This record gives sequence, C-alpha cells and structure tokens, in this order.
Amino acid sequence: MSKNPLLKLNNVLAGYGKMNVVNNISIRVNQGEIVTLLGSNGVGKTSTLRTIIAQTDLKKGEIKYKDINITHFPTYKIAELGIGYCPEGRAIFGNLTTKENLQAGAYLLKSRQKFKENLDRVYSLFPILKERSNQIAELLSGGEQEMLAIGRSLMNNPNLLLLDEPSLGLAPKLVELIGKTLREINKEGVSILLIEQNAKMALEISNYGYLMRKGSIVLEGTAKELVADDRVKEVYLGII
Amino acid sequence: MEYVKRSNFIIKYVAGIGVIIFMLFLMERFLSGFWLTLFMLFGINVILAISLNITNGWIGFFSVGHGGIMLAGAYAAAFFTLPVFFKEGILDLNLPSFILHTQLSFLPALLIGGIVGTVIGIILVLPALRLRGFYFCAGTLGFNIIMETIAENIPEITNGPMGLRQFPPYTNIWWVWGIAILLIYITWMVKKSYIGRAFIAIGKDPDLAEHMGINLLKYKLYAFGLSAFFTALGGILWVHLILNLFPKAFNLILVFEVVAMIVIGGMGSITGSIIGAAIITFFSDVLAPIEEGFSLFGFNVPSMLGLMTVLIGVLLVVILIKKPNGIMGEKEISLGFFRKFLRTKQT
Amino acid sequence: MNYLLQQIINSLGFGSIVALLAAGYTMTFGLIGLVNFAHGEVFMAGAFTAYFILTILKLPFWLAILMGLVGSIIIGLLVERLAFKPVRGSGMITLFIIGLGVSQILRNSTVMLFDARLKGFTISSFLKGVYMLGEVMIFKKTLFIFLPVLAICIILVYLIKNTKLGIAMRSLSYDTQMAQSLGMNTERVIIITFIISSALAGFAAVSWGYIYGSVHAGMGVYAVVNAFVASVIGGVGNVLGAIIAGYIIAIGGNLFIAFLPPDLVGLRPLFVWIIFFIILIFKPSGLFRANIK
Repeated sequence: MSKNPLLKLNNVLAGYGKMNVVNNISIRVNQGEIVTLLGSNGVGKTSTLRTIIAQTDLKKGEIKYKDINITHFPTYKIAELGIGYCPEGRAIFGNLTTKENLQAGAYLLKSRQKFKENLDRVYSLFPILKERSNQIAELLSGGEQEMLAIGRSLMNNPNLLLLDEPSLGLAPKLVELIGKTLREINKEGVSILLIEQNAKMALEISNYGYLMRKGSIVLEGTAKELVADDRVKEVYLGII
Repeated sequence: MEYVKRSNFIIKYVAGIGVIIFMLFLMERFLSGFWLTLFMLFGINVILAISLNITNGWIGFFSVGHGGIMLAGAYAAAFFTLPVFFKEGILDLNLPSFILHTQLSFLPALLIGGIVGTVIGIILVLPALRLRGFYFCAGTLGFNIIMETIAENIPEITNGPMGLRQFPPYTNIWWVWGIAILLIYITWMVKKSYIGRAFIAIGKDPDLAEHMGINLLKYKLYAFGLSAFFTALGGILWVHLILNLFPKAFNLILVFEVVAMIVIGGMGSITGSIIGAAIITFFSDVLAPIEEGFSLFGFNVPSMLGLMTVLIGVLLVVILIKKPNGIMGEKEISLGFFRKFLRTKQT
Repeated sequence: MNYLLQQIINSLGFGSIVALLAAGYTMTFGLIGLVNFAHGEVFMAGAFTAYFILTILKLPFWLAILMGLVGSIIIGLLVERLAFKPVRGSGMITLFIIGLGVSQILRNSTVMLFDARLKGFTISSFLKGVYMLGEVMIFKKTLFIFLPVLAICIILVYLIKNTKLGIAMRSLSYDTQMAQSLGMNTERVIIITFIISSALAGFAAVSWGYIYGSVHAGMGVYAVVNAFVASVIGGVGNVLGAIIAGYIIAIGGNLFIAFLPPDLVGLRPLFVWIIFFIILIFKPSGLFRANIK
C-alpha cells in the first residue's frame, strides 16, 4: 500500500435529507488499483459512489482526491479533476445518438486530436457502437447501452473511474468483455472503484475490496483474502 | 335529547341568518356610496374566488378561462335585462323576438345567464378535459380569447366592441352577499360531504380515485358545472353594478386577479379564497386611487396606472416562492383553529 | 397562384417573429421544463428599449437593435434569477402562475413608465419601399428581417446540433445529474440558454417594431401565445421544429383570413387556438419528434 492513496474517504456520513445511508465509511483507493465494493442490495454502495461525486447530502467526514479536499466540491468540478462516473442502469442520454453520447463524454476534452483518439479507442473496444454510431441511444439494446455508458466514461481519459454495476443484466459473454476491458484500461493506469453484484468477476480483477452492510464497512482485505472469507461467500451464495 | 339538539341546531341557523340579514341592512343604511360599492365588489370577488377554487384547488384542473364564462353569462343575462327601447330601438339587435321584446327582473336573468354560462363553460371544457395538468391550463387560456373574439365579431347580436349600456342597476348588497353566502354555504357543505371528498381525491390522485370507484367524468362535470354557474353569476352581478359590458370587459387582468386571490389565499381552502379576495379587493379597489396620482407633504406623486396590478403580481410571486400553499394552505378556519391560537397566546 | 404567393410573402415578417420567439421559448421549455409565460414581456422589453433608443434618444437604428437585444437579455436574466430559479423543479402549473404574475408586473410597469398607447418606431428611409417580383410585392423591411432571421435560425440549429454547448444543453435536458458528472457546469449552461433565448426575443421585438411601425405594452401577450403553440406543434425542446412551426402558424393564419369573407377577418386570433386544440387532441407530442423525454 503506497503512502498516499489516490482517493480517500474518511469517516463519511451521508444520505438523502434526514435519512443516512452511508454510515461512517472510510475507503482507500491507491493509484493503479482496482477496488471493489461488495454487499447485497441496498447497503449503500451506490450511495457511497454518489457521495464521492457530490450527489448526496454529505453530513460528516471528508473526501480527498490526490490530497485535494473535494468534500464540498460541486459535481462538475469533481469531474474536471479527472474522476469519471458510470452509474447503475446505464444513464445514457436517450435523446442523443450513440456518437453524441460519446461526444458528451468528451465534454471536458480540449483537443480535437485526443477526441478522435479516444473515439477510435472506444470503437475498437466495442465495435458495435461504431456500427450504431448514428442511432438514437434510446433505441439501443441493454447490452449496447451499457457498453455506451462505459465507453462514454472513458472518453475523458479519467484518472479514477467509478463504476456502478457495469455487468447488471448483461449476457455472460458481455460480462467477460467488460471484465477484460476494465483490466486493460487499468493496465494503462486508470484506477477503478467498482461496485459489482457479480462478485466472481469483480474479485477476479480487483486488488482490494470492501464488504458493506447497512451502510458500514464490515470487512476489507485483498481480493485473495475476500475470496476465501465466509462472510463474502455468504452474501454471494452460489456465485463464487 | 334529540329534540333539544335539533332545535338547538335550527336556532343556530336562524340566528345566523338573522345576524347576516341585520348586518346587510345596517350596511345598506349607513355606509356611504363608496364603501357600499366596495363591499359589493368584495362580495363579487369572493364569489369568483370560491368558484375558481372548486376547479383549480379541489379537483386539480387549473382553469384560467373564467373570463370567457363570465362574458357568456353576462351577455346572456344582458339580453334579457336591457330595456326594450335600447335593444330594439337604439341598437336594433338581431335577437329572437321573445328576447328583444322582454325585459326581465334580476332573478330570472341571473338564472338564465348562469345556465348559459354553465353550458358554454362545459362545452368548452369537455375537449380540454383529456389534457393533463399544464396543457389543460393553457387550453383554458384560450376560452377568454375565443369568447372575446366571438363577442367582438357578431355586432348584430352583441353590438361588437362598442358593447352594451343602459343596464338597470339591479345589483345591490343583498344580491351580492346573498349569493356569496349561498355559495359559501354550498361549498362548505360540499367539502364536508362525499362529493367534496371525491373532488379532493380527484385533485390529489386521479388514478387512485378512479380505482376507488369514483366516476371521474361525472365529478369533473359537477365541479365545472358548479364553478361555471357561480362564475357566470359573478359576471352578471358585476355588469349590473358597473352598468356596461363590452367584449374586453373580463380581460386578462381580471382573470389574473382571481387567480391571485386563490393562490395567495391558499388553493383548496374556502376561507383562503375569502381572505385572498379581501386582499386583492383591498389593492385593486381601495388603494386604486393612488394610481391617479396624489400629493403627499407637498410632493406631487404622478399618476402610475397599473401600479396595483404590479403590486398584486409581486405579492403573488413572493407568496409562490416563500409560501407556495398560500396563506391558509388547504385548511379552513374553525373553532379548533381559534382555540389553538388562543392557547399559544396564553402560554 | 400569385395571390397565394403574396399571402405567403406577407406572412414572412410575422412568421420570423413567431419563429424566433418559439425557438427561444422551446429552448427553455425543453431544457429545464420551464413554462415561461413571461417570455412575451422579455420580448416587449426589448421592443421598448429599442423604441427608447430609436425614437426618444433618436440614435441610429443599429444601436437600437443592439440595445433591444441587451434590454431583452437583462430582463430575461433578471426574471430567471429572481422569479424562476427559486422555484426551479416545481410543477409546470406553479411555473405558469409565476410567469403570469411576472408578465403582469412587467407589462404594467411598462404602462406606468410609458403608457398603454402605441409607440411609433422611426423607420430609416432605406427600409421603406417595395421590391417587385413579377406581380408579387415584397416589402423591403420584410426582406431585411427575414434574411437575417433565416441566418440566425441556421446558426442556432447548427449550434444545438454540432457544438459542445448544444450537446451540453441537450444532455442537461435529459439527465441533469449525469451531465454534471461529465463535467458540465449546468447552472452556467442554463444561464447561457436564457441569454440566447432572450436575445432571440429581443431581435424578434425589434423586427416587430420595424414591420408594424409601432410597439405597445400589450404586444407580448398575443406573441407569446403564438410562440407557445408553435413550440408545442414543433415538439417540446425541438428548436428546428419550433422555427418551422412558427412560420407555418403565421402563413396559416394569413391564409385562413385571406380565404374568409371580409367581415370575419376579426376571427384571426381564433386560428391559433383552433390549431392548438387540434394538435393537443390528436397528436399531443407535436408534429415533430420531441427532443426531450
């Protein structure tokens, strides 16, 4: 573990209005790592991610990115710092075409050259998107939309990528593809904080993981340690 | 026991009516022309506000077409109340003979005008009813313009933009407040009854209401019918007070003022509508002379026509931002309300 | 045939005005669901600013056009910040009522400051006169307005389709939070959209002054209704649709009264409402694809 983690959450208490969903969470993501948040539905994994990008009410604690205190930064500023977000359920812009969605992803990109590079990169990762580049995103299939969402989050060359259930509802072949893609971009230096129902895939590619229950962390450790742990197996009965 | 309760009840009613009659009598006797007229205007505003509240506040169909309904009712009544020499002789209106040659007293004219206004209101609203929310509202905006345009363009019947004059001054404080109190009573009773609860259910969640067995169309028609009838009466009372009628008489400013009354007072509350009517009447009729300009401590403040509407607009916007439910919200004034008020004062 | 062509040419002036207003209106409507009933008064404010510069201060016409834009932009922003921002996210009816209130405030304030009468625009001599195309008459002033408006519309549609700002606007209208996650400063985009929308209204206002020779405090009401209906016809949020619908409404309205007996000419205002009801009852999503969900 390096001394200065890329992303640090310290004792974060957050929620929506009066309700607290994230109870005193402390998480570290080091540069170059893939870290997984595990847990059954509704324990606060998504809310943790959303808290990082300032889409919840943060009541206590602090969030540091590259030693910058981003606790009270607005969402768009956090994106500017190089944190990418791919939410649960795809959240693509249904009214734009595939290509326009990717353009939206490249909003912060200044150079036309870089845009072309990244576009080609995404098209080579997911060739089907190139085929459908002028189609209205709403009309894409579930799998295609997920690929679009992930592709879009890559367009900006993020340094840290927050991914929420990228494999949800996808065919096994696609899940494999996504796992492979994540490993690839991680090798290129992108750190990843991942939420995954598919614990098998997640722990296969991750370095470290946290198990959450009722808004708090109940277990953490390296991927190897977690795979062997009974509590993890208990949550994902039959999947591992 | 029952007998005593019943007679208590009847005594309360009779006493209440007696008090009202007595107060109206005093007012007519002792108030000067200005204050009497003011109180009548207040009464008409109360009628308009409470009527609008039924559709906008209770069943949740925000209508802004009341100008058109008032126009329809007013013209219909006018055809019957205007003196024969005027209709036939001076204007030579192209009306059927039985209308042209009669001049009725107020009650039949009110009824006829009320019914015409209601019928026209319902005809216009039927196609719009399938529109939801805001689009319904936008549709009703057209009522006013449609009725105004029609009135302007059939001069053989309505005397066009010049309008009608020579109205008999039928409106007096008894008619205005008699109808107003009647409306308050009806809506109060309705609110407590099944019909009223159905109305409010439709306003809050129409799909749920339908699942509970409420026939949406029937109740919507009841609500619009009741609302349109009294709105038309309001228009007729108005016209027989200011004694003229022309197509632009119930224009956007008036429409706006009634909307302001129910929003400021609290949509869904009868008391709120009365309070709102009072506030708007205060600005629009009591303070109105300020618009003409006046001198204060030797300074000559110039005339600022339209100032009152500006102030009402500001008040409306402020209320919507700070207290969107209006002064009363959906609640009514009641004994419980007073008790709470007194209790907090004492502690 | 010539008669038909003449009617169409005659409608280009009013059509341009409605197109600009509808485009601006649909931008804010599609973007943040804002029913801006006060848009007509933002329009009127530009007209009066231009009037003030042109007729009272007697300054040159290009300055009047510029100040007309500025006037509309200032009022538009003020209205947005003071009246609409505090209630952003509220239901459309609440927004409508606030818009109604603001429109009354602005309209009557104008009556207070000036008065309710028609205010004449002094028209430069080079704008007077007509061109003849065979038997069809084209007013110079119509051409001077139609051509720039056409250019503005083309630029506007290009902007929305192809620039970053356009993508930001359209993303924001679909999913504001996601747009922010991609780095878009949505508040700034909204302000820019309002500025554009108000500027379009300002140009429309100055055009009105030149076409009709005068402006008055009540000009906003009729115009905003036409703009609103055009934006519904064109599809909510669809700028190109709104522009086309604006011209259609103007041309349609003129043809409507052209083929009516002369004494029914006063029924012109009904045309727009008839179209409105027909569209809403038979095809509520508008004639064109709506841009926003």
